[in-house]
Amino acid sequence: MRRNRLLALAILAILSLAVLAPAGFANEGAAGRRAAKHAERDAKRQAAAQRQAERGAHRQQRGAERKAAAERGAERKAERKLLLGHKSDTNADVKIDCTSITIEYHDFNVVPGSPNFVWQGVHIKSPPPPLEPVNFPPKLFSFEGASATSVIPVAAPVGRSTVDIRSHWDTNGVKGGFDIHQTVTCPPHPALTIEKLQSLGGPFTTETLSGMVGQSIMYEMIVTNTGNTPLTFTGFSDALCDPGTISGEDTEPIEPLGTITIVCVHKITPADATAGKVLNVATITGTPEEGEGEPITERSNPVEVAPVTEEEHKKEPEPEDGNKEPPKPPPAKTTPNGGVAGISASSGASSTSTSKSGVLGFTSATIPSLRGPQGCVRSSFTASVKSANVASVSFYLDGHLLRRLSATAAHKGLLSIHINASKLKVGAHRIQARITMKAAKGAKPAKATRSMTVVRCHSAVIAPHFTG
Amino acid sequence: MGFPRKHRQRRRLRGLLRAGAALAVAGLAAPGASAQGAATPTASNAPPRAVVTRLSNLRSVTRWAYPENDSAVRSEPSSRARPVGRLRFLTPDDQAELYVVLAAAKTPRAGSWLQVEVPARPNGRLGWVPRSALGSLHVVRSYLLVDQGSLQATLFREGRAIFSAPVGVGKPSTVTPAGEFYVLEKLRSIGSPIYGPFAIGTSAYAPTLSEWPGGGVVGIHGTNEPQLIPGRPSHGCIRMRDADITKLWSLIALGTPIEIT
Repeated sequence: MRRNRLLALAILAILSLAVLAPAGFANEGAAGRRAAKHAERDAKRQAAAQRQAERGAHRQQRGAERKAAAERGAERKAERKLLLGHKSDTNADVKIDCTSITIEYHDFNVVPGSPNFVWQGVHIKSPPPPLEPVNFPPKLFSFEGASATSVIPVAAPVGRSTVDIRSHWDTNGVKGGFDIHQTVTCPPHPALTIEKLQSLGGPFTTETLSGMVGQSIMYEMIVTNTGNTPLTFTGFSDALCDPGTISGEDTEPIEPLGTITIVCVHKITPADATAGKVLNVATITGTPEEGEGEPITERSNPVEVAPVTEEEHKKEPEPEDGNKEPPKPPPAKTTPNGGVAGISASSGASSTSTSKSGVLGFTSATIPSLRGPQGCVRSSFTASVKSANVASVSFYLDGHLLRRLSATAAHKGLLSIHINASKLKVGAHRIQARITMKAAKGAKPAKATRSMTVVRCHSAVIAPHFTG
Repeated sequence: MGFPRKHRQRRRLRGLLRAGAALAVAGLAAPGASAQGAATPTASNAPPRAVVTRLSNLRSVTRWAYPENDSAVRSEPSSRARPVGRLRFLTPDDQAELYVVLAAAKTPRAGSWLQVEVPARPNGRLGWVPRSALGSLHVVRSYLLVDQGSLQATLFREGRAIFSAPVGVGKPSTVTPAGEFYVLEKLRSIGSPIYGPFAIGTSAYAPTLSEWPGGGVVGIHGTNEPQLIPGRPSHGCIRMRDADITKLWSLIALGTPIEIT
């Protein structure tokens, strides 16, 4: 019995082994397949991610390429933006640098006797304040034949500026034009000019004058900063300036295209008469700010006065014709800023006196006139009133009160105001001096208004508008 | 309708008197008038309406002034006269405008007036402005003669030639205008080689190029084509060799009269 039971158990064990062993093997195979599937899925995912990354990188690359192309396009567009039709891009080549713009016109029609006309304009914009844009007024450039080169000297400011050049033409069958905006970055370029003028009481001039011994020659030196960096003008020298007569030197830096006017006086001496002429030049040094270049020294043009004897002087022909003595012109103004760089003065003639003449002891004739420079003003100038018997003066510019000065502010017998013309708009400006005279006890003070016109001019260094 | 007859007659009489006075004044004060022209009563028996004095003979003495007030330029020395222009403060190149003063007229009612050349188109226009409209008078004693026949420019000072140079003038299609003009401005030329280093602005306007920027001002300037001088190559301007314009620029003064023949 016991042997049978053992046998049955053995058979059962064998059977169990026979049945269970393949199932166990089968379970192991499913797990492997699952693992393989997972691995395959992972690989697929990885490949997809890789493809996606590749696509992303490609997209990024294409984006960068597109951006670069757009930038290049914008650059090209900025370089040459065509405004007007037809052959505009084929008739002109432009080269821009910091000191000049060169435009080469070509392939124009040649019609004998009919020149080609081209309008040109240059505008330099400097983004960082306080630099002002520089405009070269549009002008007409004309040329005969099929081609020509126009060189426009410019003084682009130090640093980054946008240069805008425009040109257009419709001439002899060729139409076209361009409007180019280009950025230039310019290094400092110090430069200056000094022009010497002289006067013997008349207008300032560079021509040779005749003067007598004892007569005073007034010299005027117009110094212009023609570079692109501020300059401090120092070291002015002119051997003919009598000691203590030099005025107008400015120790402040002068901006590009700004001018100062230095004046001095020389009295003609017997030694000058012996020498036969009074001839000299002036020199001045312009020093840029540190790191903006080297100082430069320039010499002025020479001016000459030929000394004459009193007899020779009297022999000068009387200019007027007819039998009536003409009215003598008012004596020339000899204000420090007078002459070429000045303002039209003649303040006495145009003043509107409100004084109650006679009653208060001051007639309009005794109320002083307003004096100032004549002609153009471009830099600073002085307007003044003689201070004798004056209690106070209020100076107005275009109706706006500039300063009220009392008698105590008088200097060398003058109540003066210094006006910076470079801030004024180009055109005519009115200066008024409302003068209050000193009054006797118990009397009302006499008052008068004197006025004059000053003309703020454009620089005289320009491209003229002449017909050519 | 209209004015009463008496009033109309009075107006007509006043008009005739004014026209007569204007003719007399214009005849006396015209540039280049005879030397005896100064200060003569305007009518034989009538009291003088205006005493006219010549201030410039445009040769040995010329007076000029900057404008002082914005004023109308009138055909006669009267505030009721027809305006023929306005004083300007700036030239087309933004320099100070100046006016050559030919004569002064003193009228009992209208005060002092000055006769000026008006630098505007058409050339040769004259007019009158109140004395207060102009500043102090400057004097120049030289004059420039530009002879288009001999193609020479000569600067005279006190009757003596002190400078002479060959010039290029306008071609037949764009002639240089003939007449009496004066120096308005002195410029240092930049921006175009065709003007050379210096340029002198005149009161003359080119007769054919009215659409030119600035109205067609005739200038005296240098050139980048010196081989065309002397000749007739220009569009109305007077061209000189660069060395000559540099010399002339230093010799000539503002307000100097220019005669172009």
